[in-house]
Amino acid sequence: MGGDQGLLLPVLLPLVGAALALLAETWHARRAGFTFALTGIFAGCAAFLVLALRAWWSGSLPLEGVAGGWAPETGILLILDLPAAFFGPLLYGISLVILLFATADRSLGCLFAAVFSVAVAGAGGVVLAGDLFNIFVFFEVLSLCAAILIAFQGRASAMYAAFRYLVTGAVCIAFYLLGLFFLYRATGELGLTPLVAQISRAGELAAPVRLGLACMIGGVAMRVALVPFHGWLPSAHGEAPTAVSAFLSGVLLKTGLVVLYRLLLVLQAGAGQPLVQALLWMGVVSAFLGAWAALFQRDVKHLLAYSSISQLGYVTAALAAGALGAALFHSAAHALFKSLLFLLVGRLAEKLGTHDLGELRQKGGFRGASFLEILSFLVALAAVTGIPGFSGFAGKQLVLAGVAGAGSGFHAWGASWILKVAALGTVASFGTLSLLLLAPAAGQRIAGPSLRERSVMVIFLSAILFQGLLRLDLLNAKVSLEALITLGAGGCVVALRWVADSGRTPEEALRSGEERKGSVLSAVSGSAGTLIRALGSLDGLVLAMLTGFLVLLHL
Amino acid sequence: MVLADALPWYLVGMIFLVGLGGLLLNRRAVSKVIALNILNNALVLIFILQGKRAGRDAPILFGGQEVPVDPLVQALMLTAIVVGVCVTALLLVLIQCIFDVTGTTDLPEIERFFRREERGRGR
Repeated sequence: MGGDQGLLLPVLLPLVGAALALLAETWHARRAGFTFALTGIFAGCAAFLVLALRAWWSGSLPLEGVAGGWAPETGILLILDLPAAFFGPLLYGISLVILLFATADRSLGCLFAAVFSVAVAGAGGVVLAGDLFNIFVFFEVLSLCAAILIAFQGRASAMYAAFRYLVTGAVCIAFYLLGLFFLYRATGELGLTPLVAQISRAGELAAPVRLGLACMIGGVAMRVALVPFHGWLPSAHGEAPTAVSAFLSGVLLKTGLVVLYRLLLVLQAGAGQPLVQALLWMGVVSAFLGAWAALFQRDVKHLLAYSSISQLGYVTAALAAGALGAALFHSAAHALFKSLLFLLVGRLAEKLGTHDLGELRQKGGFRGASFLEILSFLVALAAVTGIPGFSGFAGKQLVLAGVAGAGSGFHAWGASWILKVAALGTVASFGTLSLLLLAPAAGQRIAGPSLRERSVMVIFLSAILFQGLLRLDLLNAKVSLEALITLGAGGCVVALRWVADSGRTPEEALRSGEERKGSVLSAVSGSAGTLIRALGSLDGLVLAMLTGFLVLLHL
Repeated sequence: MVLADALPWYLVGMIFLVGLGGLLLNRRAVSKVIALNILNNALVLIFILQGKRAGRDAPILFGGQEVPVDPLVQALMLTAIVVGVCVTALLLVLIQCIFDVTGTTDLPEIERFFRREERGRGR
């Protein structure tokens, strides 16, 4: 196993960077601290890339290693399988670019760079961990750092978002451990490879193993923000600093996908079809609800957050349908365009001092922005709404093909149709967001992006365009027509909303809302509001998650 | 005899449920953190009980004829306890900071406070 010891390097290097950044914090050397952190993450990224490429060329792709050269039974198992080799360099690269963007924000010091590096190391650890317990440890490292990052600027509402994230995370990780216990009791194994071997030898899932896997899938689903477990995400993304929102959406959510893939390996070894189907439907329902909930958000960051739930739903559906390539392609596309969108929109919202879509438009929206920003925003929108020729289009086509090809009958048919309706919701919600470009008044000019911010935008922009060009072969008349019809229908939804909203100043809207008080409609919308508020409270989140666990355990 | 074997498991299961119930039924943030701790400790106990099925002696300083308990779960739970302490510490810090601003640890009150603040920002 001598050659595989390098597997721990991608986790260790950002940690070294974090330690050095902390030292720099004590000397108040902000520039040095960020340099250390950036170097650490860059070195980790390079190590990951070298490992992945070497394993790819030598064809030894599920590459296994033990940290520190211990015997496999006692040491820490690490594994570099295809998703790990794909996600590792990608996530490190995106984190690197996001941290580069964060250097422009003077309110974030060395401490931020250090915590960010530890979070990146945690993400790398989750991606590389070869046994189920280490996944738990690295998940906790990641989520503790993520909570600190969310609350970093010290606003009380951000602290509360971090609190909600930690509590929901703790409940889910408790269930993950419970599932681990059932698995360990039934099989006596924690390592992934021996577990898969043992279960495929048995050929079926014994009852305790199934119970354990159900618990663990629920626990990981919270990290991917699938529907009954998604409640923490909008407030966390909405309240976090701009760079952290991009990190949460682009990196944190993706780590859970790798774990889901590994759990699916165990499930498929034991032919656990009901749970695989449940995961497929969780993905489909998330895709649908996330996209349509995004349409009704007034806070731009919440809009992007709900759309993340939707896109991750697509990816999970593809994973559960067994289309690994489609899942990897679409999650990479999502990581790139959603990070870029969060950076652009978050920067705009910070400069204009509000998150409200209507107010942002009143203040001029993107009309005061530089050409590069507008171009990046347009390309990211084109990618997320799936205009033919961009990465989101190719990703969605691959996912739809994967889901439709998963089997015949009701499941595949219904799932792919619901995914198509979800795409309409995505188009409608991002059409609403694109109104930021068509602000009524020219408004105030905002300060142009610095050199570093501009280079970050160019990197993301070229990555998105490049990814779209990779799969131009998917472009044909029929699917393009379908995509264009979806775009047109989404445009109609946006136009309808615009007509309904325009010609009414906010004061008028408020007054007409008061006039309608007492009518049946407002009673319905009022009780719906109360219901949504109850579901959005912490107890509501926990209750929804427990219901999700009960359903999963029942399968 | 069977009952005596099963009793610890039932007790641990009850502690787990007490943790869950406390998490759902309490309004105050600190009580929720305590409930989370109870939940965590129930899990630790579950794993330790599982380890005890292999033997009954401490897995260290062997004299010759001891039958040790499963040492792996003890190592795992040591890690889990440390992780739990970190989570608790961070949660308590967050509660303190939220309390400094809102003046309450009652969760519905805190949520109402932030909704009011948001509406104030909207206008």
